[in-house]
Parts: sequence; structure tokens; C-alpha cells
Amino acid sequence: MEQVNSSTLGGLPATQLNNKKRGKGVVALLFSILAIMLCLFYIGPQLEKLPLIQPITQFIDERGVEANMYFYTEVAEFSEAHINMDNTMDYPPHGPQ
Amino acid sequence: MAENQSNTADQVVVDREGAKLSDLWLKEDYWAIWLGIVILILGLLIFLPQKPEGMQAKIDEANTSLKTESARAPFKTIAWYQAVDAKKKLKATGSSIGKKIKTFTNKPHGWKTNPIDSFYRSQADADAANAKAKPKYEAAQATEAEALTAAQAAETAAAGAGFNDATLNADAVKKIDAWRAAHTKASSAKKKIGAKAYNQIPYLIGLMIVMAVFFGIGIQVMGKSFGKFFGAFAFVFLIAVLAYCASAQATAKGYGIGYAAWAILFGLIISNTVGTPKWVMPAVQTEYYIKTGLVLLGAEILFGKILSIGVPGIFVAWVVTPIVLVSTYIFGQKVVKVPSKTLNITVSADMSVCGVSAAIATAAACRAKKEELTLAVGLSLVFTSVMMIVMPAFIKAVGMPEVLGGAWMGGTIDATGAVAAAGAFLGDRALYVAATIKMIQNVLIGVVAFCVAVYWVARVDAVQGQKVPASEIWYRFPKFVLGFIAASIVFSLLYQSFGSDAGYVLVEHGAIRGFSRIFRGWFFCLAFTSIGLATNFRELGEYFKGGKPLILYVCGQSFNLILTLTMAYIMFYLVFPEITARI
Repeated sequence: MEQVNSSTLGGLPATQLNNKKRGKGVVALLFSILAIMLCLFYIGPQLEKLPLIQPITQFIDERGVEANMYFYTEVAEFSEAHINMDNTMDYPPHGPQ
Repeated sequence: MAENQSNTADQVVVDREGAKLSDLWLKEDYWAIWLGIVILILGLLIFLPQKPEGMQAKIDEANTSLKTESARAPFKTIAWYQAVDAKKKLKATGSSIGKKIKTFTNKPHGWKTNPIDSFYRSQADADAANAKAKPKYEAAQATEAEALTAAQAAETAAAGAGFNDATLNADAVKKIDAWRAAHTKASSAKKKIGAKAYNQIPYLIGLMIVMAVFFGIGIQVMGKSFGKFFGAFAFVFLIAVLAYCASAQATAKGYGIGYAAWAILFGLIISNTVGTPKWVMPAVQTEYYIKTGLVLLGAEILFGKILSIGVPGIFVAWVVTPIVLVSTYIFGQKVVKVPSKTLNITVSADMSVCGVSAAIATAAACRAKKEELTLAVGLSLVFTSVMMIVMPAFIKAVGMPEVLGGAWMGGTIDATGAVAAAGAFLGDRALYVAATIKMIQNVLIGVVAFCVAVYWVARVDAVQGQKVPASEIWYRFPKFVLGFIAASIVFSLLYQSFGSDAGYVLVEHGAIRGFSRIFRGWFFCLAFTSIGLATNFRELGEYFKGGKPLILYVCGQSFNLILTLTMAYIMFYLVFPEITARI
């Protein structure tokens, strides 16, 4: 934890000040957790009801797309796309001549 | 504060200190290489012998069918798709050891309202989830069967006319497309009836111990305390687990918010509220985790992939991207006047190449500050979510063809997962093109990281007008980049030597997806957690002064959108329409 080194600041003893700061920190931490929960369980789902957002978020949920991944090896759809494109390039439909 | 960082004394190439042999075991860069090599070799030793039974015979059979079908009809027939599906099922990760490794290294599972579901599910809950999903699966299965019957009838009619009747051919293509869409839907529904009971907690504890020992050995040899690191690592790992847990939540997933964002956010919250405890600091080793992760990422950069969609793909991904990257960087220096060159190049690479992965590689190559990487990642995540929602809606609204829309999204949306979601939302063709373009762009990371590392040691960090000798460049060069490039070259050659079919089974769906990729994800998550735990909101704000990074991102992305769309149209519709017709 962050330490306050001076013996007194603003007229309060160091230990009391530390406790006060720690208390503020804990309140801020709890508030942050609450804000995250609010986003995940209320604001996010409410926004999902918007006509622009709903179709794609619903699609992601139904199809189970890993929409939050960062590299192609983490997403199953990339493997599917790659094998399809590879075979399209190697065995392009061209018949009957 | 951020001003002229590249000119600070410790970053200017003026001294001629030479490299020592002991660097090999005393420097983090080398430890990243050694640890990366251990994981990659282990992955190969485990997965290369795991050939699925009758692999070659099944590949040969599928290829014979593909050859016959491609010569029989002017479009992809049902048998053509079934042959590809047969190849798709062959994966070394499907072996018993592959499944065991997956169970052991699994991230927290998906959940909606109860975070406990991310770590534990009873048999009764699994059965209930399966029962709930069953009616949907049965309906999807029936629709698929119906669509297949219709496709078969249409294909038979087209074949009856010797595939010479354009109307019958078009009808067959339409019906086959409908069957493929139904097939994908049924496959997704099938996954939801396969829920199993799990208790991930003991595995996560085991994984934490394995990783603590793995990194701890290097820590000890580099002269720090193994004991202090071990205890502290448990805390960092716990936050990383929570980050993965949050990213697995349905709403977070829907908006494309991944583990990197959560790891930084959780770390930031702790460090800026109650403060990061001092005893945790020995495990806040951002660079150590990032560099090791990057060596592993190198193995995922397979150069053979750049030809996946032929010349148009190279133009859209490998010509447009470097132009946008360099232009944005110059624009940032000359017009926006971003004070930090490292922030400028990290945001430029992040925006033009592929978001978070490119930002990590570039930031590490030019030794950017952790706050700069955080800013670049934050910008990318916000714009990725917006573009993932807006772009497919716009493409649909204006009636843009799927191939063009797919190429446009693949070349411009930063995050890979968001490209898959937006592409699949438009349709299979859009997905195939978007994913392939993005994959080719992903491969560019290796080249970008190498060029940035060389440019930085030879030009940016050098005193103006002074010629930097080769020995000095070598001394200042971030050595882990060599491990990153070497891993890419070795795995690319290995993949090619097996041939694309066996390479897909044993290398990509074995050593990479079954092993190194999993650890790489964990290492990046630990790195982002460390960044958050060591970052102060006030310092972060300094880097955002005047909103310059945002202006740079918006201007660069606007240019990227225009140039990518123009190039995609020229390549796919004017120069190579025959490739577009094949897709």
C-alpha cells in the first residue's frame, strides 16, 4: 500500500491519516466494482436492446463467436475460413469445360 | 513528461557498451527466448505424434473428391463442401492428450449472470443447460436436413442439364448456400447441447503453480528472489483469472471486450484505489511476460498464409496496411505533433495492423512506455466495438456485395474476434474474405515488429547526425524480437514441409492451437494485469493530453477505411473478378 512518510500532515497523526486514506481507497474500490457490475448487468443489456446493436450481439451469442479475441488462432471462424479459402484456391470449381 | 522521451539519456545510442556472454542467462530478453523455445518444443513433441487415425487416407480421399467435383461443376457442389468438412474434422487437438491439456489449461468458462458458472458447473446444471438447448438444436437439425434435400434436388437438376443452364446453376448455388447457412446454425446449436460438468478451480491452481515455477526459474537466475516472486505471482495470476472471467461474460463478449481490457482495468482499479501491495511488485513483470508471449506469438505467424486468397489479399493487407501505418506515423509527427514517437508508432500499428497483438509487438519492439501501450489498446478496443456493430449494418444498408464488405472489414476492424463476428453476421462469403484478409494482416505483425525494432535502434534512438555502428545496433536491438522472428520462420517452414493439409492438422491444430497459443494468451493477460497494477491514472492522463492519440487514431482509421475500400474494390472487382467469382 502507498505509505505516508511524514509524521503529521494536515494536523492528523500519520497512522490516522493512513487509515483515512485506506478507507477512501476501499470505498473507491467498492464503487468501481459496483460500476462494473452496473455496466455488465444493466447498461450493457439495455444498450443491447437498441435496434442497431441487438442483431449482432444476439448473433454472437447464438453462434458462440469469440468476438473478444485478439489473434486469428484464437477464433474458430478463422480456421473455417482458412480451410475453405485454401481449398477454393487449390480446387476452384471450373467444370464442365 | 512524455515529450521527447526518445531523447532521454538512457535511450540515446551514445555509449559503446558491448554485449556479454552472461547476458544469455542474466537478461530478460534472452530468458523470454529460452522459455518460449521450451514451450514450442514441448508443443511439437506432444502434438506431432498425434496423427488422427487414417489421417493421410482421409485427406487423400477428400482431395480426390474435391478434384472430381471442381472439374464436374462450375460451382461448389454439396460433395465439394462435404470433402472440406471431412478435412476440417482432422485435428491433433482432438487426441486424448490434446483434450487433457485443454482441460488443464482452460480459461474460466462462459457465463451470463452468475460468475460462479465460470469456474464450476454441476452435472445437474449441465443436464439442465443441455435440455434447454435441445429443442433449438432439433429444430436447427430439421432445417438443415430440409435445406440439404432442397440443395440436392437443385444440384441434380443442374447436373441433368450438364451444368450448362445458367438459371438452374444459379438456383443450385442459392440452395447450396442456404444449406451451408443452416449447417453452420445446426453446428452452433450442437455445441450448446454438449455442456459438461466441470470444476476449473483445481486446474487453475495447478496452472498457477506451473507458471510461477516456469517464470520463477528465470527470476532466480537473473538474481531476484524466487520465493518473493512465487507468492506475489499468485496475486497477479488471480487478477488475470478474474480478467478472463469478466471477458467470458455474455454481455462483455457481445461487445467484443476481451481479457486485455479487463486485465488493465482491474489492475488500474487496484493500483489507484487501495494501492498495489508492495509484496505483489516482484511479480509485476510486464516485459518478462510480454516478451515470452511474443516469442510464442511468432510461432502463430505462418508466412504461407499470405497466399490464402491470392494476389488481391496481398494488395489489401500487405500494401494498404504498410501505407496506412507509415502515413499515420508521419501524420502524427508532422501534423498532430504527438510528443512521443513510441506512442505515435504504437497507436499507428495498433490501428493499421490488427489492434492489441500489433500494439503489444510494436510497443515491445520500440520500448514504448506501459502507459502508451495502455492508451493504444484502450483506443483500439473502443473503436473495435463501434466498428463491429456499425460496419456490417452500413454494408447491409447500402447493399454492398459480401466479398467487398468482407475485405473492407477484414482490413479495417482492429480486433480479430470482432472481424469474425462482423463477417459471419454478413454471411459465409463475407466471413471467409474478412477472416482471410485479417489473417494475412496478422502475419504482417512479424515484419512490422522487426522493422520498428531496427528503425528505432538505428535511427530514432541515435543522436542526430551520428552514424550508429552495426555492433551498437546489435547491442541495443531487443533480442526477444529475434526469438519472435525465428519462431515464425521455423513454424512457417514446418507447416510448409507438412503440406497445408497435414500442417493444418498437426501444426496449426496441434502444437499451436493446442498448446503455445493457450500459454501465450495467459502470458499476455499476466502482462496486461501487471501494466494495470503499475499504472497511475494521473500519469496515464498526461499521455492523453490534448486528445492527440485520439485524433491520430481517428484520422488514421478514416484514411484506412477509404484506402482499404478502394483497394478491395479495384482488386476484387476490376483486376481479379475471377477470384471473386470463385469465392
